Amino acid sequence: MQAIGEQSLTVFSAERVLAGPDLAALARDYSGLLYRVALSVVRNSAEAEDIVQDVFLRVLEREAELVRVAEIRPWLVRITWNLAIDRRRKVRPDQMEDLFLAELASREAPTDRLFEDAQRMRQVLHAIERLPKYERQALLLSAMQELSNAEIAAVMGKSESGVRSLIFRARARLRERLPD
Amino acid sequence: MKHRHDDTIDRTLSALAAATPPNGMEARIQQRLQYRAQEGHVARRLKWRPDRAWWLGMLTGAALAGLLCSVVLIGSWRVHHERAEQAAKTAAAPASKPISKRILPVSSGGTESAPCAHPATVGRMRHRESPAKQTSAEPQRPVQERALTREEQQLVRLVHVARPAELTDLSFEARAQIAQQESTAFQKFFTPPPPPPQDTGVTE
Repeated sequence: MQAIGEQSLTVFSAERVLAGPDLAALARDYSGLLYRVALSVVRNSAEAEDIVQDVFLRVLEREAELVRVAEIRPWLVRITWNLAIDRRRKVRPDQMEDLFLAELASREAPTDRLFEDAQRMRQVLHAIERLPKYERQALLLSAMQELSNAEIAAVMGKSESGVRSLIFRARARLRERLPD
Repeated sequence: MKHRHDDTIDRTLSALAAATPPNGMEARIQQRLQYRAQEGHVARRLKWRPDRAWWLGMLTGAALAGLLCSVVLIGSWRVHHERAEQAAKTAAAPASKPISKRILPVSSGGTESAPCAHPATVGRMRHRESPAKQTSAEPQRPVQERALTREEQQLVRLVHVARPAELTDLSFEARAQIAQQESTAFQKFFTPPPPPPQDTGVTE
């Protein structure tokens, strides 16, 4: 009886391995992170959610290849980033920036400093937009605390030291460009 | 030394990192994934698979062959049935009641008699029933019997009433024979006339 139980357990495990990661579990584990990555690019809540849904639909289409993906989190973040960049080209971010800034400021600042903080954040975000492509990506991904430098390097296809260098240069450039 | 803008940059970046997904996003994603998975499952089931091609082809061929056989069998059965019906009608009709004759128009439309008609017109004409077929399909009406003449009525009565000897007398041959016998019997009462005197050649 015990042997049969072990055998069935082995079969079950083999099936799990062959089937790859469960999509529902992936959505549960990573939808928050992917939403934040998408939001940092498109700066609109509805658009960010739509992008996350698209990411998982893409994953569903490539469900058979999931077994071969070694690092699932950088892979998902990379897909999200690319989709968000595509979406940002189609949607004008200026139209959605005010609402986004109000949301950001309300989370961070007390009511009396709300307007002032919103203005400063707007300046920072505009400065981030003017950064070179890789510096901007490295800086925004480093803001997501769930991602290590190694994972950011995997997403960007660069080395860890290269990522650190990009983040450092991005910050330096922002300091230069922000008005006093 | 920390730059004076670092605080603003960090606060902005931390605000981005602290963003929370809208309520129910995960459930909506799961729902959409489930819906799409069902669609994909149906699409995969309908997708053409080469390893199934041979038996699908066989199945289709068998179905087509069966259909063709059915059409041929039904057609031949109908033709046979029509012929049998026609033969039965012909046998049931009395010999004295011939098929009604009717003069039919040669053509109902001008296109039929037109030479070198268009193939489409010819196709339509073939589908029409021929006048002969229409006539044969019509119910056969008995010919109205005319009243017999007086002589005919007498003949009929004679046939039904008279004795066989009397009927025999009606025969021309028998009557001629009787007439001959009566003539012979009648001639027996007369002596033959004397032969005429021979001519001597002397004139008075």
